[in-house]
Amino acid sequence: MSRKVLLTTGATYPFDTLIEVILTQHVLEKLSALAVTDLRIQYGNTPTSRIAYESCVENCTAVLQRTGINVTGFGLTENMASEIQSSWLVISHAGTGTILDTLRSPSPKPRLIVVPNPVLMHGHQAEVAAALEDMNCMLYAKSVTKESIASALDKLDRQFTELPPKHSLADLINYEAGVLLNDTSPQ
Amino acid sequence: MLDITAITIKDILDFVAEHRCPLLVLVLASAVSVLVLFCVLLFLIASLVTSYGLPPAKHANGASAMFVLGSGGHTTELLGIVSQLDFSLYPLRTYVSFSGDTLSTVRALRLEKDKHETAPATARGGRRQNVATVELRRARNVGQSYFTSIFTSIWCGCEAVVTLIKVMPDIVVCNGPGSCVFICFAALLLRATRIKLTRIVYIESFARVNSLSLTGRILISVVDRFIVQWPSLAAQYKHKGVEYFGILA
Repeated sequence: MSRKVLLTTGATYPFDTLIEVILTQHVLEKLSALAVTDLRIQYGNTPTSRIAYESCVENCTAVLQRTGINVTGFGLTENMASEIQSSWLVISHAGTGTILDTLRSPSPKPRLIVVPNPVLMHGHQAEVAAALEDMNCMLYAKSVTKESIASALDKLDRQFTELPPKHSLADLINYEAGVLLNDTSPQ
Repeated sequence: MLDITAITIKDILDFVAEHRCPLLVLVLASAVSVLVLFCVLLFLIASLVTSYGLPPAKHANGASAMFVLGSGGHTTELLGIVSQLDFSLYPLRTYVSFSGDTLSTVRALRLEKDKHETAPATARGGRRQNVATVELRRARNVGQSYFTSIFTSIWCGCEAVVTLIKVMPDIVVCNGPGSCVFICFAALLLRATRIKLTRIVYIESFARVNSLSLTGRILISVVDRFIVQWPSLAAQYKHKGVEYFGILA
């Protein structure tokens, strides 16, 4: 029985520190204890990120051999949705696209741990992450350290809440466009 | 003693004719043009303000809709909303994107293709379906200086006005970032001149939890419907008429 973990760093900004932190003995042993067999790493499309990823993997070859975790990597993919669906756990930069893709993926839904990129902390990724953790939809590791990620990994056995279903704006837009002929009241 | 109130326009014209004073003519002409401009502006503003009190116009044969694709995550969110619409109600669909963002157009056309395959839209009243994509100059590129962005913004604004006059949408749906402000202002121009009573729906991004984006803060008072996706934002801007229904993404 294979158990896959997907690590995403996003497409726009490199997030090499996240890869470094995951590929440490401490975190890898935690993953191994959770019966993880495969680790898929999306490292981004900059050449430096690729080099950083490769050197990280090289540095922890011994641990990988001992734990039996099979690490594979890719820069970007068109088919992120299927990568997410086939995972047991997604550890992600806090990109809203990946968060929504994961939380909206069909059952069995992967668990989700989000680690915001400190470079983008002035942005709103951390706000979304905090709000969704408050709703118990996912876990939020506030800092890019092995301790914070390990403590998130310890909480994976909890029962997560489903994200409320997507609300449709079709009625509102139809009303505004004047094409909702049998109903004259605004939504 | 000169009674100023007794001076009529005829007196002034007589005085000008008699003395042939070019400076006075110039002053009078500029005063009149400023007055006319002011009146036009006042009329436009009044006309715009009253347009908010009007209900949306009915379009039994379907409406013309304009969807403004911001790029990246904005495009994802907007196309998600567009995909829920019944295209037979919108025989004319225009997707606007901004220079350097060809991916949004590709994604919009992919959505059109998917929609056509799953549920081919049959136009009401025999109206032909017409899908168009428009690419506008971006108001400000990432890293561009604020000084040069004044000119690119003016250019973007002009292009937006031309596009709106050409397309004449019944409704504009947008969700930021920056450049969609120009489309909205161009739509307001159509409304103020009563060329078309274009309605504007603005949706704040899912990524905005506790504060509005700059685009949102600019547009909040001028759009017909302003929708947010988090309850904290809804509570904060309730007095501005912000609406919250839940997550739309």
